[in-house]
Amino acid sequence: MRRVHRSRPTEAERLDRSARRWLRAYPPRWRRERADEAAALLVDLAAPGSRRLDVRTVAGLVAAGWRTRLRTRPPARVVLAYRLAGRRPPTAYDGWLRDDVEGLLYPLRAEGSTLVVGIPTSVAVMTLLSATGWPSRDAVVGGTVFLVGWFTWLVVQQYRRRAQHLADLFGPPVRDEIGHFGPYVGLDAPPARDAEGTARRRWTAPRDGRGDR
Amino acid sequence: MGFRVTEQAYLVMLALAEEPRHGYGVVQEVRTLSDGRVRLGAGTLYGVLDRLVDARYAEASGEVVVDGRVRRYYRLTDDGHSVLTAETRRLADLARRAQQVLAQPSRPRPALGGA
Repeated sequence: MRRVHRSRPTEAERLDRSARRWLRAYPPRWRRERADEAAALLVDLAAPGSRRLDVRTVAGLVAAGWRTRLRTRPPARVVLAYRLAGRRPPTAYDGWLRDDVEGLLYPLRAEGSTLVVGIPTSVAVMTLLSATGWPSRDAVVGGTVFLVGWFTWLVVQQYRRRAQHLADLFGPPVRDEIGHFGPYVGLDAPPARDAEGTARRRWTAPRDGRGDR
Repeated sequence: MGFRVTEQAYLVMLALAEEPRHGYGVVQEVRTLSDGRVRLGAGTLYGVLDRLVDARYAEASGEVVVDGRVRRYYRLTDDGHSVLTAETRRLADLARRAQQVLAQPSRPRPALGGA
């Protein structure tokens, strides 16, 4: 079997890959539109002979990427209402919402309220109670382990329900295939109705039986 | 009036006013216009460009693919032109006032204490 030799990446390709890696500081919807031109600019601006972006460029890029994320995010109270109460942000922020649901850490973010409120509260209550002696320390540890396991299961559920959640928010995904054909609907105009109100039928066979075709 | 005309934004608008440019062209032109003083990085450039496009002072005006690299051109809108003109006039007025202040014979400055 022939071994396929991959040619060594050229310097420009290495720079391009480095540039795209650091461009991940920008939000995904920004990257979908601008990553190509931004990577080209970064490659042009890089010093000739370099294989990676230099530290100053990287620092500026990461800072600008996070500033863009902050600038295109809904205000804090909208984000909090969304995370804790599940209230959908206004349609102006649909791009942000879509990136959030499609993101890698979305299952964690979706259960953020459990993580931030539910679990610390439970652990605090258990620890306080255990000061009176009733739940032993081992029971508190066991309870915490149980909570962590339960939280993990919730996160997995979010992951599994993500596709359905996306469809609920934004409608079913657009697919490339045509799908099943429906019943034929002719392009001809519907039969006109004459003065008596009966439809003038143009395509039925003549009543006298002539014309089998 | 949400747009803050920083020095970098002003130079970028000036670079785009002459002709539509792509990112690298803007960086070079800004450097020329500022006598090498202002060197824009990609992050700062896109920060300025994004703000300009959001405020409708600039717009994308076409893409060219050269050697597999995408170059997107930007140009100034009419609104951007008027903002640039107004800002230039403001700077010119400021410079003129500054020259008047500096041309006056210096007043004796108050002693700052000590013996």
